[in-house]
Parts: sequence; structure tokens; C-alpha cells
Amino acid sequence: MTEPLLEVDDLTVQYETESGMITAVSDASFVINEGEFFGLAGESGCGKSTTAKSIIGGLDSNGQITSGKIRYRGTEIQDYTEKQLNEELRWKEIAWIPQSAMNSLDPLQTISEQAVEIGTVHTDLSKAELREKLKEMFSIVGLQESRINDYPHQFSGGMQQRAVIALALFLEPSLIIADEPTTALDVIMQDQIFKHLDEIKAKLDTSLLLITHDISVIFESCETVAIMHASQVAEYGTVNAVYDNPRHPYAFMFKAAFPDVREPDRELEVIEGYPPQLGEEIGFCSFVDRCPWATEECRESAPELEAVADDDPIHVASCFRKEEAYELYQSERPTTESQDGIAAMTNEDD
Amino acid sequence: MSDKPPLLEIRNLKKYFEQNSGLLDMLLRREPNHVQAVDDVSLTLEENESIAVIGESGCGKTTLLLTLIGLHEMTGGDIIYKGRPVSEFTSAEWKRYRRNVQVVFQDPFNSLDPKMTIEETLQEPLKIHGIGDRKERVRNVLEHVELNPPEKYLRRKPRNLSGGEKQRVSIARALILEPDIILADEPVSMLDVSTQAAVLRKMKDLIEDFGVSMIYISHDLSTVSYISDVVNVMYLGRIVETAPTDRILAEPKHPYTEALVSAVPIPDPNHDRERTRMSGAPRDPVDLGDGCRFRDRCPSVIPPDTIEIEQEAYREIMEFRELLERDEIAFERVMNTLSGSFSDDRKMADAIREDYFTHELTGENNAVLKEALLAFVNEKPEVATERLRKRFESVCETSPRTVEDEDGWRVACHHYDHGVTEMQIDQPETAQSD
Amino acid sequence: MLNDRTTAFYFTILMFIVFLGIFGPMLAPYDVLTTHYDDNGNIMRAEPPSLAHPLGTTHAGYDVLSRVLVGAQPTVLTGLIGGGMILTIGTTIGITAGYVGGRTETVLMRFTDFVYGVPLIPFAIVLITFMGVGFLSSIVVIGLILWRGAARVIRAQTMQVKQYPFVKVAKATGASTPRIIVKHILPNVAPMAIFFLAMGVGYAIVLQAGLTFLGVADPFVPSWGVMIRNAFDSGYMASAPWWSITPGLLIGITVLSTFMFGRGYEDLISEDGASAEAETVTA
Repeated sequence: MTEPLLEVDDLTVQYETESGMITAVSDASFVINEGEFFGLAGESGCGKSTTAKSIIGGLDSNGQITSGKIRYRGTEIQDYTEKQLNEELRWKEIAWIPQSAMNSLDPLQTISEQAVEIGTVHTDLSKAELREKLKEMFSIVGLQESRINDYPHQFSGGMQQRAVIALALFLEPSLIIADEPTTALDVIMQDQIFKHLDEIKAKLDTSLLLITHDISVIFESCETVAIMHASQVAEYGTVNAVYDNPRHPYAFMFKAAFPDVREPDRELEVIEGYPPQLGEEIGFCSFVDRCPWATEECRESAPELEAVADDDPIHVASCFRKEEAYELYQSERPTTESQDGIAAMTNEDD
Repeated sequence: MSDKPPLLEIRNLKKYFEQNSGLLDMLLRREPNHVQAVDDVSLTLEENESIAVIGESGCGKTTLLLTLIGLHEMTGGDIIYKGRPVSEFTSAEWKRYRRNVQVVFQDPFNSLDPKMTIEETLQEPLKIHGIGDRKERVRNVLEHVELNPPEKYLRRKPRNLSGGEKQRVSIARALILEPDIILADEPVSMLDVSTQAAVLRKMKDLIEDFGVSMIYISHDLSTVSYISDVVNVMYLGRIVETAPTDRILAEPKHPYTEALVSAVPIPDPNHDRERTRMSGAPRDPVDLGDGCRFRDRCPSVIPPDTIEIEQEAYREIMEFRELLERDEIAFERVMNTLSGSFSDDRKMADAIREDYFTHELTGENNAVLKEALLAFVNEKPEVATERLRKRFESVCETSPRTVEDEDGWRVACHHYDHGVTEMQIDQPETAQSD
Repeated sequence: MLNDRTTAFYFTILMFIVFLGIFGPMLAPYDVLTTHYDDNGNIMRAEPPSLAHPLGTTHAGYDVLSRVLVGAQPTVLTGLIGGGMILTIGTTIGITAGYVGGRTETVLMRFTDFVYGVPLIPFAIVLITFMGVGFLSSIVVIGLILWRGAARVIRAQTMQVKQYPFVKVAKATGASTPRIIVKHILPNVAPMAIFFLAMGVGYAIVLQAGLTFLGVADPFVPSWGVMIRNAFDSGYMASAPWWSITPGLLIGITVLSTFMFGRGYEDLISEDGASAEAETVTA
């Protein structure tokens, strides 16, 4: 691989509130390569949406990037002004799919009018060319081409979401940032949309930053994943590395908290307690109060993100006990051993 | 078993809504549209059993629940509680029913009155039913849902609880009257995953410890598999398949169930799941008429055995016929793509074909479609409709019966309904029930 | 957000105004209808504040301070009765229409629309001919008309609250309609009702003054509204600001305190839980 598409390096984002500064993202780092789907997972309030918003200058007015760098194709963009973001990045390079499509479409304009408006601001293409591009994208997301001239209310909820995806994609951005794009949709519709995203990746080499609480979607659709807890990246790596060889207790407990239709009888993991209040600085592991394997060391200082194994440079975890935690976890769960065992064995076969 | 009636039996329950008709409709004396939210649903809930009703949003599952707790009036059919039909309930029986059937809603943020403390919220049902020992009961129920120690929670208002705690209070409120049945409407879908598991586990324990029965309503098969013994799959107001949970996940029979099961994401990067073959969304449940409700999205609609046609091509014809019968062919829109020449019927017919069809047809199939399209552009849509119906009418346009095999596995699909048709030759692996 | 202290502060102000309403007349240094003369025997027309007349005088040579003190009583009464009527009628109609729905709602809301169409002043004149000119009847007229805004908004709020699952749960558990209204609907529309009470108090005070000068209310009851009206009509509004500023400020303070106290009281009764949460966080 040559230069990565997006590099987020030690990003820290703080919000100014009445009760003082709140650190919403703390030293987050990850890389998205061209044609790569990257998932950012975690509970609500863990900072995953803030991370994404900071990339395209979408932070609320009381929030700011206090340190760290964001590089897009090698250029630092964390200090870009609104004007620069609009002229150089938004839509054309980086597109945003919001959680709720209904609120992001203008009800008074047809989809094609909205597309032409966006297109004339961000590109030099003619109206006819823009409409042609939108048509193409409509057929990719499975909407009839002729419906580009419809108003948003003429679409059903799932179709609106796909229309928003088509709008986000029609200028052929290199990176799509999607914040819970399918959470409000039913499983079948979710699968339809990911089918389209897969196709777009295959055709256009598009990258995706997918923010979701649903780790099963990430494991299925992404190549890399970062799991965030209390504003920090707990573990980061390829989905296979994080799935087969998780190191951070939060990562494997989070994973085990998800029901899996293949194992309806498996006991679901429960992560007790809550992450600490996000204050100025946390001088200890933020997971310590929820972690069954915490030791004194975990309370004395905060672990740094460190490589898990020598042969996998991108797999990192921030846990003092990353060497033994997963083994401890597996040995302590007799009830699930049989199923996990089978799963592990089939994994090795692969 | 035979002398004791089931705890709750739903028999051919129907709930239709009249769609608000405007002034114009009234003046023109148009018949109001009927939203067939729940259409002919039959279910049985035995004591200490947990069953699920799953389906996409808009399939009528929430309407079913609201009808069951008496917030909607039934349009037809009946609900039989311990042998007594709800339609014949006296007011004393209603009171008993309202005490014994409790509900937990999806949204933890609006399920509790923000102005009431937890203690007030939990005492409210007891007051309504004139039950004493309120302090003691509230304490006990809070301990049961693991809100410990209860004193810590009694005086709090909902806004000072987390989502998971709120949902536990909702469950506690449902339990405090010691009901027979709990109806749960996606109780964990709005919770964070770390709490989701805990609440699910709690509900599972409660079913077992308290001997409560539950109807669990959800769109999420993966949580359903965790909590229910039997799954009812609902599509556009009807139950299309009923079977034990593990079996329905392993070998779904109805094409819709199959689509639903195969679309559930698997949290495992090593697992290679094929994406869904379905497209589109369920239509609005308005005046649906006869026939299988799933036929417009079904990947295996049954063509008449007199013709030979590819499934994909046949689906297109089905869709087109549907639009034709509903008078929803966008004639003008298609004509706008045509520059000028409105005199050439053939050109117009071709334009429509290009817009609505992508698959090639051959022989008689092709000839019939051509003929029908020509009739359509000649402003004879009845002729077109009739021509297409004659050649392409599917058995799926009649409502399938629900057939049941020895294990109580029930499916409503023509692929399994031997009595009506002999057409399941194309589906060798599925011909099981009889 | 409001805290204990600010709420107590507004409560003190309200108490002070009520105190003025009760004891004001006793505290007044002069009779309100005594014309004051200066040393040269001229009427003290719109004199600025001085030691003898700390708030100045009116154009008729009356003492402003005395009038403010005496005027407190009718003002407080106007606010209480007018605001109270607006609140009671508006909330009753709004909640009934919003909760019961159907035909009842249609009838009640068409009636509200009808009242919206009734112009206040002509209606007051007609009604006064039946009830007779008087201080009290002028307030009742206001109350009978101005509930309309409250009714509409409270109906909308009721309809919203009615949709919440907790109301559905209460119904499903067998709670009667009156019980649901008292236990769930009323507490949840209370903030809006308090807002309308506060606005109603202000409107009633100001409008009652307006009615006075149409001759449909008793002009010799010198409420604060009437004072402002007097100042305006006399043409001394600009040149003798001390005449109208004090009653104006007092009306403003009354309305603000009613509103803020209502809001604060709402918060205060919700407060207990928040402190409990603080305990768990530290625990």
C-alpha cells in the first residue's frame, strides 16, 4: 500500500461545558486505506461520533480539537476552515451519511435538485452531467433511475436512507463516513444497504468509516475495527485479529455481549457498571471499575496503546494485562466453553 | 392438557383501521381505505411459555400487542383468556385481565412518567387494584430486577436513571401485580449492548422464576432466539410461519422467514454470509386484497405450470401486473423520456417495457407481454390486465392456507400447501409438510 | 437551571407583593386623592421625586408613592382572579379536549375557535351592560376571554403526553380516565400551565387598566395598570417618567416572579432525585 487515505494521529477532542472541560476523544489513532472499510464501535457516549465529526469539521461550537493530527492523503486537515473544508473535502472527497435520512433531505426539493445544488458548489460539472451521475448512483443503490426527480416524501423510510446514500456517493467521494446508517432500519433493509456498499467498494475502491454500536455489522462488513471505551481506543486491529485474538477485556466482553443466531443458548456477557465521568485527564485505566481482571497496576496509571504481537504491526490494545486477560477469560467461562471452543476450532480451520 | 384451556388464545384476530378520508372522498362517496394492520392472526400461549412475534416495522406486530392489552378494539376474531372470550368480558373480568396481563414497551425514556418517583410509579398499579403491603411489595420487586439496594432508587425520578435501570423499573412495574402474561415490545432495542444482555438475561430468569408467560415482540431475530421458545413470523398483518426458535433459525421454510434469517448479521469475520437477495420494502398494508402478502418480494413466486419462465423475469411481470391493477403505471413519466412521437404505439409500448423490464422474454410469453403493452398504450388497460392475468396468473395470488406438520410447525405458503396446488416440483428440498 | 436560592428569591418577591396588597393602604403616607401644593400655592404638577414625595407626583398633584402602595391591592386581586380564571378554564378545556378526543374535542375546540373570534373590548362592553360597571366584572370579562390561548396549547401538550407509553401502560393496567388525568396528564402539562398563569397575571393587570379607560371598569380604583394608563393619557409619559416607571416595573416584576417561581418550584420538586444520583456517583 502507498499512502493511507486517512490518518488520525493522537486525536484529542474536548468540549467546553458549564461543569468544565470534557474530553470526548482522547489520543485516538487509526488509519483508513483506500478501499478499506473501517468500523468504530462502542457504547453510546464513548466518543465514536465525536471522532467522526471532528474529521469533517462537524463538531458542535463548544467542541475543539485540542491536540493530534488528521491527515487526508498526507495533508493535515485538522485546522481547515469551513471554506477549505467545503471547497476541498466535503462531498467530493469525504461524504457523510447521517443517522437519520429524514432530517438530512430538504422536503421542498426533489432529490435531483438537491444533488445539482451540491454538485455545482463542489464541482465544475454541468447540470446534465450531475443528473447523469446521480442516475448512475440510484441504480447502484437499487432505486429506479427515473425517480431522481421525486420529492423525499415520495420515498419510504428505507428508500430515503438509500437516496441519502446515493447523494453521499454520487460525486464519487473517496471516503464515506456513516454514523449508524442502518440502526433505524430492519435487518433486511440493512443488509440491502450493505450489499450496495459492498458493490460500491468493489466498483469505485471507496473507503468507509462506519460508526455503530453493532459489532456484528462491523465484523461482517469491515476490514479493520477500533473499539472505543470512555473516549479512548481500547483495541484496534484487523477484524480477524480482534475477533480471534482479542486483548482488551472490554473488546472481548463487548463482543460476547452480542447475541449470535448461531448460538441461541449461549449466555450473553454483561459488562457491569459505567465508564468513568469524562473529566480533564484520567490517570488510570478507564475500564478498571468494570474489569474483572483489574489489578493494582491498572489503578496507578493509564495503559498506552501497544502492539499486541510482533508479526501484526497494526493490532494494538491498551491493557496492562493484555498478555493473559483473554486466556483468563476463556478459562473462567465454563458454561460457554463448548460453543466458544467449537467456534475457535472452526476459526483455526479457516 | 386437554381439559385445561390454554392461557391465552388468539383466534383469527383482525384489526383494521379506516384511513382518514378527506373531504373530497366524502363528497365523492368513496369507500374509506382499510389499513389491514392485523389480519386473521391466530396464536396460542401456554402457561410458562415464551413466544415471539417478529417482523419488519409496519408488519402489524405493535398493533397486535395494543389490541391484546385492550387499547385497540378488535375488528374481528377473538382473544380467549383462560377459556373466556375477551369480547364477552364483564367489567370485573376486564379488571382481572388488566391485572394479569402486563406490558413493557420499547422506549425506556418515555415509558416512565417523568414526574413520578420510582416508588410512586411502582405503587400506582397496586393502588389501581387496591392491593395493600405496598411498601413491602415495591421493595421486593426492585430487588427482583436487581435494583439494589431499593432505598437508593425509591425517591429517584426517571431522569436520574440510566436506560438500563429505567427498563428494569418498567419490568418491575409489569411484575408487581404478579401477572400471568407479560407482553414485551422490543424491550432492549434502545439499550446499549452492555446493558442489553443484562436486561435480556433478567427477563429470561423472570419467565422461569415467576412462572410468567411472555409474548415478545421484536424485529431482531438474534435477541428473540435468546428469550423465546417459539417464533411467529409476521408479514403485513399475517403470521406466515410458526415454529420452535432453534428450528426456525436452522431451517426456515417460508421464503420470507428465510430472507429474515439470512439477513441477520453474524458477529464473526470468519463467517462468510451471503447478502440478502431481497429488494424493496414491504408495501403499505392498505386494501391488500386476496393472495399471499409476500408475493411482490418473494424470490420464489410460483408461475403457472403451463408456462416456462425464469424466476427473475416472472417477478418483473408480477410487479408490473400489480402496478397495472392499481393504476400506478407512471405513463406520463415514461412518455416524457420519449421525445415527441406520441403517435407511434409501438414506440410507446417499447418505452414502457424498457422502463419496467430488464429481462428478456421469449416465445409466447414475449408475444403476450407485447400485446398487453400495446393494449395499455391504446388506453385499454382492462384488456392488458386480463391478457396478462390469463397467461401469468400465479397460485400465489390466492391466500395460502396455514398447514401444520406433526411437530406443530405451521407455514402459510403455497410451496407447502399440497391440497391446493401440485406446483412445488421446483422446490424439491422443501416438500415436507403434508 | 434554577436552584433553591433563586426560587426562594422569587418567592420572597411574590410574598412582598402580596404583603403590599394587604398592608399597602396602611403604609401610604398620603391619601391618594389629595392634591399637593408647593410653597407658592401652586399644584405640584408632575414634580420629580423629592424628600416629601419620594416617587414624585402626578399631573394632578397626587403622590405617586401613595398611589403605588394603595394600588397594590387591586393589582394583586386582578392578577389572582384574572390569571386564575385563565388557568382554570384553559386547562380544563385543553385537557378535556386533548385527552378525551373525538366529538368532545371537536365541540370544545370549535368553541375555543369561536372565542378566538370574539373581540375583547366590544364583548366587555356588552357583558358589562349585564353585569354592571365594576372592578370585579372587568376582571371576569378578561378571564372569560383570555383562556383561549391556554386551552389550545394545553390541548396540544395533552395530546403529546397522551401518546407516551407510560400513559398507555397506565390504561392497560386499568387506571380510570380521571386517574390518568390527575396522576399523569396534569403534572406533565403543569409547566405550560404555570407559564399561562404567569402570562395571565400580566395580561389581566394590563388589560384591566385598558378597560378602565373605556369606562367599563371603575377608574377610581388606582391599580398599577390604571396608573400607567393615566400617565399615558395625560401626555406626561415622557416628561414625568417617575409616574409610570414604578408601576410598570412592579407589574413586570410580578409577572416575572410568578413565572420564575413556578418554573423553579417545578425543578425543586424534581430535585430530590438529582441529589440521590450525586450520592451514587461518589459512592
